[in-house]
Amino acid sequence: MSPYKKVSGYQLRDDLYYDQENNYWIEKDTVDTVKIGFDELGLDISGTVSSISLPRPPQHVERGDQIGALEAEKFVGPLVAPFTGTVIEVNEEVLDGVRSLYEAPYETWMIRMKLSDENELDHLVAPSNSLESFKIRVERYRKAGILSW
Amino acid sequence: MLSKLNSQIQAHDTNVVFTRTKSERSSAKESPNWVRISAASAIALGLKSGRFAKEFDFGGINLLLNYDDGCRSDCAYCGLARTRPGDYEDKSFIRVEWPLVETASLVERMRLLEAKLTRLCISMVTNPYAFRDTCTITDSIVQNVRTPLSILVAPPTLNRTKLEEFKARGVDMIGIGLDAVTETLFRSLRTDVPTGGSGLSWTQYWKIVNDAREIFGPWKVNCHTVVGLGESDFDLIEMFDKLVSREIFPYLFCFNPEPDSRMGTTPKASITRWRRVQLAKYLIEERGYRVKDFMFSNDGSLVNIKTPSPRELIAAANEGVAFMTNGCPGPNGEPGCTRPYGSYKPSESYRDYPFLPSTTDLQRITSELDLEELI
Repeated sequence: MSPYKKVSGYQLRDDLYYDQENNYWIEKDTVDTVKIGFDELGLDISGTVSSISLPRPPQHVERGDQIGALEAEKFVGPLVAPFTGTVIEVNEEVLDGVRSLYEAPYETWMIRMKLSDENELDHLVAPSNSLESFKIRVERYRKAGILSW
Repeated sequence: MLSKLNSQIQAHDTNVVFTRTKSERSSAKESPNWVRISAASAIALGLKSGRFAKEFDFGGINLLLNYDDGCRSDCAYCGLARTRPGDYEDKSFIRVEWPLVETASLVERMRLLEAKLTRLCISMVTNPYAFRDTCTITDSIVQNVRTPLSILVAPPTLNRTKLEEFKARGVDMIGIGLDAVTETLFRSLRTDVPTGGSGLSWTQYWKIVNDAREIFGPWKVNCHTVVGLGESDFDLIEMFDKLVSREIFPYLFCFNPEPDSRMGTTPKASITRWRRVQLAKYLIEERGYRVKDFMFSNDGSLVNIKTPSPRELIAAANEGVAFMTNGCPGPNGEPGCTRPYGSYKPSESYRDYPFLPSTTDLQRITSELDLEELI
C-alpha cells in the first residue's frame, strides 16, 4: 500500500516521523541516524522558498539550536535542530537550488543526523499518529491566515 | 519539473497560476480579465500561502496588467524589459513572481477584505490595449471596493483626455515611473534601447506629469525616482526640490538589479548613500529644505547639509519617518502602499521600512547614515 496520503489538500507520507514545531519529516536511516526534510506544509507556509542554508558537517547541535536558514520571497527564518545529535551530512543538491524540495519533498532530505540518544525521537509525532496530527497543524496555520483560501 | 511544482501550488491556489503551461500560453489569460498581483498582495489576500519575515499590518495591493506579448518597452533595469531573456510570463518584476489571477476573483477577494486594505494600485505596461483595459479594471474595482485607487501610468499610452477619463472613473492618484532623474540618463536607459524605446521620451513623461498635476491636483500625483541608476546625489535632490515645489510627491526607490537585465550586474547604491538620500528627501518634503541647503562635491555627491541646528537635524532623522517606504496614502493619510521587501531580500537589512522603524532599527539606521560626517 502506498505510504502517500492526501490530507487537508497536502500530500503526506504515513511511514515517517514528523516534527510538528518545525514541519519536518524524519526518516530512520540506520539504527542511530536519521534523514530530515521539509513536509509540504513546511514549504507552503513560507511562500515560495528561494534558498536554504545548512551547517557544515560534522557539527554537534542541541535540540533547538539554529542549524541553518530558509529564505523565501517575503520571509526569512531559522532552521532549527529537531533533536540533539551530530549533523553528519547535508544534501548539496538542496544548497544548489530548492527545486527538488518541491518536486519530491519526501524524497529530498536536507540533513542527516546521528542521534545522541535513541530516545531523541520520543517527542516527535509517530507515523501512526501522523495523519490526525497533520490535520491539526494545517488548521493552526489556516487560522493564522498563512494558508491560501 | 516546473509543471509538477505548478500543479502542487495550484492545488491550494485555485485562481492563481504561477508558471503557465504550453496550452495555457495560447489561451490568452490577459488583461482585463486577468492581472498579475505582487507576491505580497497575493499573500495578504490569501490567494497565495506565505508570510512576512516580520508581522505588520499590510493592505497595499498592487496589480500589474498582463499581456502575452508583454511590455513593449525595454528599460535597461527592468525585469519586464522586452529584450531581457526568457518568456514574458516567467519574468520576475522587482525580483519576485507576480502571480496571475482572474480579475473577477481578485476584486471579490478585495471586496471581502476591504476593511484591511489601505491602497490599491494598477500598474500599466506599455501596450496598445493598456488604457482600455485599465479603464475596465478600474470600473470593476471602483464599483466594488471603496479603498482609494492609484494608477501607475504608462505615459507612452496616454494623453490628457485619457488622464481625465481615469479621474472621471474614480481614480484617486496618479503615479509616473520617471525612474531616471535626468534627461540624459532617461534617454540612455529607456529611449536609446535595443528595441521599443521610441515611445519613451522624457518630453512625453513630463507632459503626462504636467497634465496629471493639473487634472488631479496638489499631492495627488507622484513621480517614482530610483537611486542607483547612474545619477548623482545632486540630480536626485534637485529633482525632489522641483517636484515638491510643484506639490508632486517624489517617491524613492532603491535600484535592485534584476538578474539577466542589462543592468543585472550593476551594484545597488551603498546603504550610506541610500540613507542620506532618504533623509535629504524627507528634509525637503517635511522641513522646508531646498536644494541650496545641501552642498555637493564636484561629482555631485552630497557632502554637507547646511543647518542652523545639527541637533534638530539629528532629531529629524531619529523620527524614523524618512526611512519608511514611500507610497500612496491610505484612506486616513497613513502609509497605504508599503511594498515590503520590494527592493531588498528578506535576509538583507531594510532599505525602506514598511512600518515606523523601531528603536533597534534606528540604531542601525544611525550607523548606516553616518550623519555627523554631513554636519
